[in-house]
Amino acid sequence: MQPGALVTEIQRFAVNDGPGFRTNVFLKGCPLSCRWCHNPETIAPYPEIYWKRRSCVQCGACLDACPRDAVNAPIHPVEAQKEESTYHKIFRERCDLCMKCVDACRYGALEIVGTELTVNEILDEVERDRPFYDNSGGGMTVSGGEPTAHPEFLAQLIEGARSRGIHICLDTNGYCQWDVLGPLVQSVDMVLYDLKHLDSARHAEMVGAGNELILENLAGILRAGKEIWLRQPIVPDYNDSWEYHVKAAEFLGQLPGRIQRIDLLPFHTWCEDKYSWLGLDWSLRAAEPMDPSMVEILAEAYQARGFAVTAGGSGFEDNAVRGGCRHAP
Amino acid sequence: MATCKDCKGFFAREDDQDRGDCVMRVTDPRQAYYKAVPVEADKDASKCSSFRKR
Amino acid sequence: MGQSTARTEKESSVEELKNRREWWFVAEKTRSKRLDYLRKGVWKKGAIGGNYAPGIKIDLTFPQLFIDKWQEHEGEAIMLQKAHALAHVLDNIPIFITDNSQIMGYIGSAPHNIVWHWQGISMVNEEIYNEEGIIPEPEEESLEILANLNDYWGGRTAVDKLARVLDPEDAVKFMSGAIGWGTPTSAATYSTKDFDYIFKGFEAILAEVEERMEETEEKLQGNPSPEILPLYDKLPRWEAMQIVLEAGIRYAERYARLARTLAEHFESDPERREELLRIAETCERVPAKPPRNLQESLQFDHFVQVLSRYETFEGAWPHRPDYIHGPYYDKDVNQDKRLSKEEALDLVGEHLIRTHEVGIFAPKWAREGLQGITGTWVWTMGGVKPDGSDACNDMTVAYMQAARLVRVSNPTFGFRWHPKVKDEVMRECFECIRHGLGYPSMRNDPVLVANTVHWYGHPVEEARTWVHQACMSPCPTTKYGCQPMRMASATANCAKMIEYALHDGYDPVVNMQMGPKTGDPREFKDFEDLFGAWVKQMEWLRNILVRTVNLGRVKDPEFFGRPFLSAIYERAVETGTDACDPSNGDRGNAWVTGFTWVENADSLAAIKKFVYDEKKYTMDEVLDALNANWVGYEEMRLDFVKNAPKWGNDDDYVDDLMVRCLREVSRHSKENRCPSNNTWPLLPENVSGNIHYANLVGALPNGRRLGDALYDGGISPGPGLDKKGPTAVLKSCGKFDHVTDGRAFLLNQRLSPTQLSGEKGYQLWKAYMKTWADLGLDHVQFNMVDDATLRAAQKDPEKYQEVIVRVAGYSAHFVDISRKTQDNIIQRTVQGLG
Ligand code: SF4
Ligand code: SF4
Ligand code: SF4
Repeated sequence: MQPGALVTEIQRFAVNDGPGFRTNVFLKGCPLSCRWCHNPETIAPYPEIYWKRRSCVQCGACLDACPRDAVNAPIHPVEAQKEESTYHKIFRERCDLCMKCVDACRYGALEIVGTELTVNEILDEVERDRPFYDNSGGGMTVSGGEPTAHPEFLAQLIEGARSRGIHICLDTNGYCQWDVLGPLVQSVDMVLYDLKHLDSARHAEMVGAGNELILENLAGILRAGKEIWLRQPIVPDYNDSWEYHVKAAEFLGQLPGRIQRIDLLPFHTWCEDKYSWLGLDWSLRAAEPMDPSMVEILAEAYQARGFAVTAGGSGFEDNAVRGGCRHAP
Repeated sequence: MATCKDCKGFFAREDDQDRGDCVMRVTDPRQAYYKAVPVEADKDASKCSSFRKR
Repeated sequence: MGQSTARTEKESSVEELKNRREWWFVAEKTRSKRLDYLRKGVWKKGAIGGNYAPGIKIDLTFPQLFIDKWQEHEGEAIMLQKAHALAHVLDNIPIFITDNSQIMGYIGSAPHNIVWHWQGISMVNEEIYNEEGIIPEPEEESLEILANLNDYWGGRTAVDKLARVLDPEDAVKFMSGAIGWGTPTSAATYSTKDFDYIFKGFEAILAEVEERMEETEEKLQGNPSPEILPLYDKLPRWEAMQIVLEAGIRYAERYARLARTLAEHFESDPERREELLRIAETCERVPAKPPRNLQESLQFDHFVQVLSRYETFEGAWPHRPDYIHGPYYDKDVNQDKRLSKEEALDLVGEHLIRTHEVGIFAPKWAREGLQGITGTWVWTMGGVKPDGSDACNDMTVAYMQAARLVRVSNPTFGFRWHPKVKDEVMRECFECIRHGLGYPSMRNDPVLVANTVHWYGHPVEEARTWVHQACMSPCPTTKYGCQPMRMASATANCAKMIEYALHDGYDPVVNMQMGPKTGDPREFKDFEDLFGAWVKQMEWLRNILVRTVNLGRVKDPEFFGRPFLSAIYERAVETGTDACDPSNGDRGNAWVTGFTWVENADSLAAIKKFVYDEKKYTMDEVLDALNANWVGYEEMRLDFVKNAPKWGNDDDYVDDLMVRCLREVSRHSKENRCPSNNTWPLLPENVSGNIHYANLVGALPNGRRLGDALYDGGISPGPGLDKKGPTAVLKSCGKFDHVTDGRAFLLNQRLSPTQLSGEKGYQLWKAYMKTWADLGLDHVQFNMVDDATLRAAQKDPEKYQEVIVRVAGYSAHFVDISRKTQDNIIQRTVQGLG
């Protein structure tokens, strides 16, 4: 019997997370807590509940179903859907996640996020898009949360994908001991690696931990000669200055190995809803989303040092072309 | 009586002088064009609003 | 990025417009002055929201000219009578030459006029009388003309005649409007045309007719025998062909004369005078004689199209213009260099415009469905030659480029993809799609050639000449491959199959026993009983439609008569028959158009799962809910919508049922036979049936209520129900055989403009298309998820459940997220929407 892991979503037709068409497997649980995190539902290592206010008709069925008095009494749906409403369905403190309310909701407004799946269950789904991988050099991207937070499971997942002949990309924030990360990196085809800030103090301020381990591991991966695409979330007033990126490019240039590609990912606020579905407040709620064309300027700092750079991380940029068959259909 | 053959817009056919084309310039709200309608040379033109004496 | 120094202002502003995806303005800035004038000169004939644009008038000159001669020749063989009437129209209808234009011919007496065909359906004639806004001034006079026409044609139209021979019970069921639409008659039709034959020139065909007639007359003088008896009927048909061919030549000569007159007496610009003389020379040459250059071949082609539309309402435009005109382009542009690429592009662009401006009146219910276009004119591009080699040529590219310059909504293109298509041609297709034209649709040539051979036994070389007969169905363009008449009048409202299976053959919407009594579903022991009932209803529904069309087809030469079409059909010329006579060697090529098809699989799956597998509901409860139109059963309905398996999610549970249904239909398709003893496969597509049938299909177990729009059609999943994204849709659609499980299968897909931007967009699309081909799908067409789509999704979230917002590492269903974020996404038109 294989152990399972909590998965928030298996996302097919992902086109910005590694080369070609990919299926992203989001594992739940992350040791960091980046303020801008776009997938807040992947941070806690246990199942949670989404309450989608737009689908809720305030029928009250969940209230009746809850054994712990953890459900907020209905109010008028129009009130609840107002932009400024702070109403949330579930009192997180009282809830023990028995999920009885989710079963009771017929309107799809309550949803369990985080389902325990086995390696084979995941891979059976991943394998369904094999024809797309074959034609685009795509495959599976294991993401999160932080996949290395589940080292044993991840190892088995990688092993399983390998035996099924699926291209594997590990999407990691690098916050993991090298003796765990090293072997995992060795066993995948390539790595998507996050870099958030070069200054450890500033790193800690937004991410919840310093960057020493992360930078060390980056050098480790490069030394191991693994293909790596470096992903930098660009956050306004944090790491969006030209000077910063000139310095970053210089730093990356003198690492002990070649970074195949750098993806600059402009900050956006579309995840706001996910916070509100979880009943969480979000400190960047009021922040302005970035104009994506801004990152094209920053890209020049890296191009000047000979790096391949993308804005947005498409898996179909010229420099993403790899193996597989890419002839005209 | 004015007939078509007395009109500037009338062009007799080479193969048959008794018949010809009545050619008119039309400008509608979208485009301008020349229009041709076959007529007999001796057709009564007294009621024709487009008649222009040759 | 890069060197921006030497850019002219015009170029950089075009760049700017491109970035903003303002394609109409990009086109306006890049096309020639001539094309700009002609494009803006078009009187749009497609109805907007069911209404014709102000200024559009019905043409009354045409029917008046027609009826004058028609009545004079009363009592003659129908083809001959019609030939006389048509010739009179062609000799006398006002013609015009628009400034800057180079291609001649129009159906009607002025550019803002639309014609109609009063010989088809009395009902339509009456509609015109009552239609506001389109009656020309002076209105009273016009209404009188219309009233007289209606008086004369009432009871004499082709459909009136057909109604008298239909089985009365069939007729009542057919006329209920619940199970199908369209009438099997040449009065509302379309036809494939063989330009290899037609381009011999009308004079050559006339000589052939002459020869046949002489031969026949000789036989008639000879030994009397039963064999010669049918020959008596052939002579007037040949005579009719002669009359229309000669009239066609004279019609062209009228343009030549006008052009010369203009050059000599009106035109002061020497360049335009040149052009007018060239026009004159062209119209003197064609259609009498074979074309010698591109202008002549385009002109010949257009004359033929116009002439056949004077003869009848051709609702589609089966055509393969790149293949037909490619050699002339090559000669003019590449070899003789008498035309520059730009000059050629002007002609090609005008060809699209001349086609676009054609308008034929359609009754209100039909034009509502057509959403702004006159008909579904899908021109076929690309493909292979009869020997299997790549047929794409410079004209393929020119048409794609011209389409982006003139941006007409009709004709559209269907591209015959095959493995040997060159990358540069694929890029042209892609550019059209990226520019938001909505075409070309992509067709899988190897699959469709095999399909055409499989169903009708066309020889493979013949099958390879195929064009889109209407929107979807491939039809060869050879002597015996051409199909002269619209067989698709067998258009089935397939959702009725499951509806009847659940109601013992009774139609709860029109309140009539329609199908056979297949039993009270409450008594069904298991799913197999239900499925068995479905099969019987399916067979019944197909039978009644096919029966009607077969009869209409055989009777058509007697009830309508097509002198012109016959005159350009080699097999009709050879045999002295009406082109529509199935006995002249026609290979059939009939199909049943399947509207509202996917509802069957989704409904069957819902019942199988909830009633028989999980026993969550009883059949009683389901029927009660359906009979109540789900009113009072909202929670249950949502359960059926959200939790029952839905087609298009790569879910074998429902996908297997879809395959099973298709296989049953395919079996039955071989049992149904057309008049030339060929098969009747199913072709799921919708055109506009999803709206038209909304009030005719009752509540269904997929959660749909009476009045809700049906699915988009073909094998496209229900709107918002394909939750697993585009790869899962393709996977589902790849689970059956697109050669043997039906005729063709329409699939709509949404793509995001940002996903398609730049080189990466092309690479993505190419990889997607390669997978589409590997999975063996025969069709796909793309709509852009643009601002308008997203705005629509904000208003009507239920129908756009599947639209996914994707950026690196993040994705969410658009309809789930808050208004504020939605607005932000729309504002940035998003990177990578699914
Ligand atoms: S059961 Fe669902 S719809 Fe009803 S109040 Fe609770 S969350 Fe809202
Ligand atoms: S999960 Fe259980 S405890 Fe929590 S709100 Fe729902 S019903 Fe109550
Ligand atoms: S590392 Fe990723 S998943 Fe973890 S908190 Fe940061 S952004 Fe979120």
